[in-house]
Amino acid sequence: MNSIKTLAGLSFGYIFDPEVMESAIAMRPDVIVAQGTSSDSGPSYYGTGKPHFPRENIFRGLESLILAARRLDIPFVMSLGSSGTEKSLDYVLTIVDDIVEKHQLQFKAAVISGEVSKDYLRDKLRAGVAIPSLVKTPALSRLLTSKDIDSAMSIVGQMGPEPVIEALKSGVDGVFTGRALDSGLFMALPMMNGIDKGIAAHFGMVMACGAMAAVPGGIDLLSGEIDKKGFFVIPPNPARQCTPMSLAAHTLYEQPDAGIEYLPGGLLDTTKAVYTQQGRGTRVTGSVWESHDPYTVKLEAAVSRGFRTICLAGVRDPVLLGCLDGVLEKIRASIERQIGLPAEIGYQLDFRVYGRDAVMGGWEQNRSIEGHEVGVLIDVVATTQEKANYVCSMARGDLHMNDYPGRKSTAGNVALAFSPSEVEMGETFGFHIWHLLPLDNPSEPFRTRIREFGGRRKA
Amino acid sequence: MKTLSQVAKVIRSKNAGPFMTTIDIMFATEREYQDIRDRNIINEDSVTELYGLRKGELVGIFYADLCMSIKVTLISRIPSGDFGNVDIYGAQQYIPFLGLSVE
Repeated sequence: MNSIKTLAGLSFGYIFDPEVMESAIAMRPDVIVAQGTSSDSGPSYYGTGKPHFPRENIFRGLESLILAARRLDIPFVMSLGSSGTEKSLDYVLTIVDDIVEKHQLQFKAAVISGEVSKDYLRDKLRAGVAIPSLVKTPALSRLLTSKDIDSAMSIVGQMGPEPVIEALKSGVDGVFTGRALDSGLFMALPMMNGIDKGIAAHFGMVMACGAMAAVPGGIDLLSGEIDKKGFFVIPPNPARQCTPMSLAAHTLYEQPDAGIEYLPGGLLDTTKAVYTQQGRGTRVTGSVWESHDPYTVKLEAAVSRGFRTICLAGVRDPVLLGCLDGVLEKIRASIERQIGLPAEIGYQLDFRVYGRDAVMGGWEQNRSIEGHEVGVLIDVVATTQEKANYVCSMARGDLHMNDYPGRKSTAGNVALAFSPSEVEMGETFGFHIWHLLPLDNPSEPFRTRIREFGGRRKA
Repeated sequence: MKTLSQVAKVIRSKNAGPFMTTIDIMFATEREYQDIRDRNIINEDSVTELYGLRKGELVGIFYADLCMSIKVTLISRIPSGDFGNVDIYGAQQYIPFLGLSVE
């Protein structure tokens, strides 16, 4: 194979325009690749194993990608489940079953679990393997502890291209993975065909989010062609283009560093890459891979933080706006007096004042209220849902009815936004594992099974 | 007073994983980019002041000449989705840069 044409979609549940899909199919791709796992939407999805999108969206999004691959008789590589835990992957595979059933499809796919077993990690710790945190922050243990493992809901590993390459070599029609490195999904087929890892990694980085790398950027398909010297990318949607600037800018996107990306087994250096515009597309050469030892896979997991209840209250009264801080502090103190201190009783209570500093929190340097109304979000997390409801309800009652200096509004202080006043948010989570597992064999933590989809055709 | 929002084409923020926030400042012309870069307008002191940063919160300031961009990366004070964080994607954390004086 001199070059490999890749069609990039997204497998979260985004739905693609059928016309753009037809243009993409007309470009005769050799493989369809889509990412459907991400930590972006927060720890809740890691805690519950629920995908970020509703079933119907996932069905329609995957349907067009799988049908395109089957129509062209080309392999697909997709990560699934949002968090990519076993539970989320299994759930999305039931949607794949529905798609297969609806269209009477038949194919064989490798399913690679992204979940890393707790016993496997406990063995690593017992063997003295140091598993350091990826980011230096007080929110993470410097080295992974057995307590971190015990308290995790599910632990996933962000697999690199290696398990995907092994699966593709086994002669399947496609690969479904749990949590995976986005660019790794795109690197697999090129690396199998002897393309340099640096070129493949930069190709993966540019293609991973589809048309986010184009101008105008957006959720849409992206086509690319990679060879031994470099790659070319072009959006199938004629309203978009990939320019040197848009591609170079995309290499900055959600990366901590500019031009350097740390990946399993090394780093990608794009600082000397050369971008050349060709029509609506751009060709890229000169990306460099630098191998590092040891090879590492990023582990990710969330822990339960308790249960949340919230209440939204609008404040329009200028007198209350003038003394809001004092009023909120008084409510907090009164609740502490009545039921006890948060640490003793097992709750956290905060007032997020939209219109002042809710959005930026501690980084907000302008703490004055300059508008004529604010939204107060009463945010309570407690060890049980009942307790969270109880504390939130006390805070809401006080905020709504208590007296404050200069009050004229003796029939109610705030505009409660909804009935019911309080909303149970259920169990809430926080990320507590974000650590690098060193490996001799990049595929070691990941289990692959081969599954027949569609079994027998109905008569 | 001339501010960064008057010279930059794009000022945006996004999580780089749940524990870091990264801010990208992009310019439309070499002249504007080089001017801000060469006068070292965005430096440890100015970023610390803009956000009231604590020790250890600034990861780095990076220059991408190819796309005329400056990147500033911070350790998020509260990780994405934890109690007290209400910007899950870190999408609204660039605001202080808008008003940074470039005179």
